[in-house]
Amino acid sequence: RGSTMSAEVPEAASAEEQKEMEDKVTGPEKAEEAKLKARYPHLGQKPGGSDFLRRRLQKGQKYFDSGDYNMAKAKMKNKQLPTAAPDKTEVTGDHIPTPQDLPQRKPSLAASKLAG
Amino acid sequence: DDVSFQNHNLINCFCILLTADIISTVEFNYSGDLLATGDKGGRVVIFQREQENKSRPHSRGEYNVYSTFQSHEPEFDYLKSLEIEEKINKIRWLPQQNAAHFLLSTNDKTIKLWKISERDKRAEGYNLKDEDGRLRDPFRITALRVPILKPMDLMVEASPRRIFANAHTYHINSISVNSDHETYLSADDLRINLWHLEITDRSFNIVDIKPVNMEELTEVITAAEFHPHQCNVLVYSSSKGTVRLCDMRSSALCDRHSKFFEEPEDPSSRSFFSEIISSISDVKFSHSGRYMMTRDYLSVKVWDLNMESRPVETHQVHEYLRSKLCSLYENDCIFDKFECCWGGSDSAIMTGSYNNFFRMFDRNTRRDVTLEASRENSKPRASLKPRKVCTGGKRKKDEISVDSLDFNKKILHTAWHPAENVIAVAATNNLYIFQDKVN
Repeated sequence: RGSTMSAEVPEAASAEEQKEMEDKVTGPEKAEEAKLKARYPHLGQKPGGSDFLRRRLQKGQKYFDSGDYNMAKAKMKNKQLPTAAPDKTEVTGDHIPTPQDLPQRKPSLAASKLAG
Repeated sequence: DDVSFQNHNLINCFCILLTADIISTVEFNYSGDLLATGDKGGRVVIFQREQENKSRPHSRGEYNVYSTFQSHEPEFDYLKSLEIEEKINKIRWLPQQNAAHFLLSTNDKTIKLWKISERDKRAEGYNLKDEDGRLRDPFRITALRVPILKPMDLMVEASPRRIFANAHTYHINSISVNSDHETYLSADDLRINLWHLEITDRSFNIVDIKPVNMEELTEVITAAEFHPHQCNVLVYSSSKGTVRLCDMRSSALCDRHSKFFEEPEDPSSRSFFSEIISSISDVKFSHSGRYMMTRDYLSVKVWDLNMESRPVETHQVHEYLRSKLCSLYENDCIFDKFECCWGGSDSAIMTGSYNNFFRMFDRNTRRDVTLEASRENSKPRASLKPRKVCTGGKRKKDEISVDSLDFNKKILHTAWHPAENVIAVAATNNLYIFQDKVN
């Protein structure tokens, strides 16, 4: 069961035994195929078709451009850092902000110099 | 029921490296004294074997970290708007020619030659600068002295010596150093290139299976390797379960194979999964150069290079998965690429499976064993207990049922010391090293 040596056959298997062995091998595989086709009836006949292979050739996430890529990388880096307080995060970009959503206007540098 | 493997008991040997990233390749060097791992984050970690030390007898054969460096960084392909992963796909060592060690490491697009050298001396007594590096005032220098070399703490430095870039449109899956020690090949999904180790701005294409019309694409190259002794011979495997052997002496472009290895298939047993599970994920020549081994999804096959019609041996790795192919297709596990490796004497072979299991086959006794690489199940210096998967019927104690297998714990990468029974097994982000019990 662990391994077979094709070069030597210990005992000649009868035709019946051979068919039984084959059934054991093809049985589960064909059963699995039927299961898959039942779940995904629109699945194409040939899994190794050129569409499938071409998708395989182009693995990896596609970005719009290098800017999109760098933004995504930065976001990933920020996610790894401890997250800041969520209440003052930017609201722009996701939905139209209301005046209450916007953060308080920071005092200008000139004003603080004068104040200091 | 203790299964002895070749009359040896494999024991767990201490070294478990926990990396931040998933280990993506493992490779011993030619002597077995160094073991390199590459990971998904583009880093390379090299381990060195401790020499025999009478004061610490238990440390014989221990592998400790020797050098760590960042080999590849993520890049962005501007033409295709795709990210180029920094994951190290393969590491291959060069034979050692001087005190330094050299290895090739590759990601999807770029191959780099790294030099790893030791520095244990430092020059002191420079004329033009102080010990802390500050430049001395030249007018203050009244005498000349000869700098002397003083010993310092061992420092291991890795420096990139060559960068072989821009030669692959598709993703590199293999690199292989030629027995001439001057050239090497790199293979992607559709092409194989030949390089000279000294020349980075030119590469020679030796195999090209790209069809003129991509709609006619039927198979891709999955692995390639040079013959260990015959510098003109290489093999490459395909996603259709075939292996082609090419002879570089016959023509410049080896699109026409010299030998074609394919096992005949019974057409009546063909199913939707047949081609996918026949895809060869790894091909390796035996040390002798007489045989080669291929790994497909469910089995490992040993081929005699003189017989193309069928393999001489077929070893089932996890045949019980045949009745799980539907779910394995849905969760993409059916596309997992397992590697395989030969023992030093070619009498045993090894490959990984799921649930952190790995399988070893003794070709002479025809016995096989399933072992597990996990912290919970192995204590340092204790023998590894053989594992058994229950395929049906009543589950015995200590057996694990197929449905309980963890398919996220895959052992894709394993390596075998070139001469001794020492193996390295990568289980996600853990590295295990096992070796024979010394009686």
